[in-house]
Amino acid sequence: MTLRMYLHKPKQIFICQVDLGGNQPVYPQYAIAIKNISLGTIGILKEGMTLLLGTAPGKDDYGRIRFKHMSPDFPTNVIHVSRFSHGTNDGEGHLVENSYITILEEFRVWAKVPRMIGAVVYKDGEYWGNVNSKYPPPCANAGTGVAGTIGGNSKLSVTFYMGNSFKWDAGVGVAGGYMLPLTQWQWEIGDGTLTSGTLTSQSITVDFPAGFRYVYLKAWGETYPAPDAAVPNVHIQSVPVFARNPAADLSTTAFQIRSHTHTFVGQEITAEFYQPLLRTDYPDGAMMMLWDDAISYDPTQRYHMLFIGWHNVDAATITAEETSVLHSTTLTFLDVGRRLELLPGFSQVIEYNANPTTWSMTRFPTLFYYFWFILFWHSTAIDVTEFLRESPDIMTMEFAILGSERGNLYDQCQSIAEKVRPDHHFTCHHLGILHIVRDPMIQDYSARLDVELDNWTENDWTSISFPYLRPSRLYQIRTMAIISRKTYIIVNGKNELEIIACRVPGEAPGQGMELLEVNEGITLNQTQLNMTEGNRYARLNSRYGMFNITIPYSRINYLYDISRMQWVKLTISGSNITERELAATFNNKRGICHEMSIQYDYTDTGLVRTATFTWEMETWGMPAETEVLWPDVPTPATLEARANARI
Amino acid sequence: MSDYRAKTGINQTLVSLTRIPLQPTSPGVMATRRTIMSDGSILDQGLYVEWNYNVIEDAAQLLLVLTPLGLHTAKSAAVTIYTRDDLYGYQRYNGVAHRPPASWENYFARGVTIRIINLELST
Repeated sequence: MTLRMYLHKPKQIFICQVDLGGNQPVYPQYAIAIKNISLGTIGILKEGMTLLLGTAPGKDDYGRIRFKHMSPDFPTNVIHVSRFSHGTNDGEGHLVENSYITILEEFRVWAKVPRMIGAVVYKDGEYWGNVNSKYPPPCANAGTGVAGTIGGNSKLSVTFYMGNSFKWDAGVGVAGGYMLPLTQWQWEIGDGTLTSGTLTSQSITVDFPAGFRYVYLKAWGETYPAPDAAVPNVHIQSVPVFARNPAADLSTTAFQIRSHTHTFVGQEITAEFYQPLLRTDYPDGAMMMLWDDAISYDPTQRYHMLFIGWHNVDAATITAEETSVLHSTTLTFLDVGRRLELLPGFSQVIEYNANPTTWSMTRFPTLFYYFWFILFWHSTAIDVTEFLRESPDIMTMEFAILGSERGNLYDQCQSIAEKVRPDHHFTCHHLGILHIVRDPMIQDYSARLDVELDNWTENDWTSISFPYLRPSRLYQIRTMAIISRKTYIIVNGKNELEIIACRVPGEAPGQGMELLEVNEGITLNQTQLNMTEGNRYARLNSRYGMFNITIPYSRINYLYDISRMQWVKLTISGSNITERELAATFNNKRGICHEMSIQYDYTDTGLVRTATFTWEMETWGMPAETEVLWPDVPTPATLEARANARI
Repeated sequence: MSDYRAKTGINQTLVSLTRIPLQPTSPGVMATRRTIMSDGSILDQGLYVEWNYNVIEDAAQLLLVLTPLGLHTAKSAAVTIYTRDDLYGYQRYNGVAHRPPASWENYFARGVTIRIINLELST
């Protein structure tokens, strides 16, 4: 086993100077006039690249922002950037005549901060709602980053696939999730050589020489109507590719991983370094890729990749020992999901409208659109990774109006996901892929898929601990939810949402101490709501608490990933059955893992990895009892009819 | 008769390996951690081997031992070795060899141990 790490040393591809024309700078600002281009050309710039403002080329002492595009009006001497106020932190800038602008070939996860002028909103500082809410950009899904060692031909072969890409199309209707596969796309492969397919093929295989580069997939969405028909409606995803040459190695093994956790949110890795990693070479926030060189490389897969993320914080230590003074620096890296947890999300609301004219309207009223809307218009997350369409519930459940409170971008997505019945989770794969997956513990028992990711028997685990909790914690759950639909019902001339309710275990409460009231949810119908709330009651009163399971890392299925929320079966049998358990209690029991923590033990004779999982045993319960909110008005249709007839 | 061999680089063929001029002694391939699984079976992790010398007489002799492993110029090196496994038969392994720490004492280097870690069978 050889863990290799590539710390991205972003290349400076464009250098110029700030041209204030003798005027004082105005803040906030999203356009900067430039002059004296001393490196690169405008044509090589890509939206999302990191832009440094500084006193000299390569410096960021005047701030760090995101390049967007050249000005449509001044395409050679004005650049548009992420809108910034006066300052020198990330997302801020200090404009000084003749100071330097350096653009790096590098993509990060940034927040796209909306600009609000009264009721008028400009997304990402400058995009207005009329056209963009009618004709949203498509979603280019080009796969995840890859790193590996070149083969005998001095090349690294990589296969890319764009079949998960999609574009919005209102004509498809809700059955198709208002989405269609792309009809136009283009690969850009840098210094690679195609060995299979063309630059417009769905799947391509490319040979890369040693070094680092980005591969780009450009996707075209619906054409804008006149007068914007000539403006391309595109989205680009970048994919980092690093080909390691052992003879001139740009990767490192001179680190030790101090902590490594993976939850539904994503991964966090802390590694200690003992060699110079100057900030001028490896800028704050730069990308990192980690892979296991001992796992055989497959061009079509990414099994060997362990992590793709970005530097977040450092911690340095200096210690005086008897024989020397020793120092080291610990860097913490976060993947895309964890990055979203640190970025601001602003309150917003979207309402269905067949002919939208503002950002608060949409003609694609599905939950999946809402997730895409948060991610695309408020972050660069899906510019740097895949966002997959999986759960049919999410793609076809409609809303009349949906909003988010202020929070971080991850929580804005997760808070909506967990309001769906059955509950969903916004998760991040260890390769950085963003998923919205159904919680199998909450969904209807008969609809649960019997797909297992791993099966842990006595040959796999080395220790298990678990609590048994006979007393209930909850005596009742009372739930209300709105019925999924894109239109309101009209009551007394007013727009209303159809609300249903249920209670579990029924009108007679149980013996737990607490009442749980779940007042926000969206569901297809009463049957589904009753089913999910019954399962929720069973889960929250589960006899067995969370299991802590320790497993040698080599015993984990390499396909395993927490973000998929798929079953992991557990067996405890024979003499390992504990004192009060029946023999069959833990035979092939299904459950899901909530967290994986990997411990790295570096010894004189080798590295040993041990994984600890938090595992939850499967539960299911009796359906909840329907609660009639307005006993004399049993259905919305009747309610509406009576109201309209003034009964 | 012992037949310890080595060459820098992984997956080197047996015939290309250099017989160590001064043959070491070795207990055979060992595990960094031996875990007893809950069914009673054994999982060995982190295979390594130690090549031991009671005495190395001088710098020239040390050089003879270190050179086939690439340790005369580097402190660690990816190597292919031919060494006794835990059943005492010879096998080819890929691994990373470590230059031994200094141990000069009473006119000789004593208790010299060359450790080769991260062992995996060569292909």
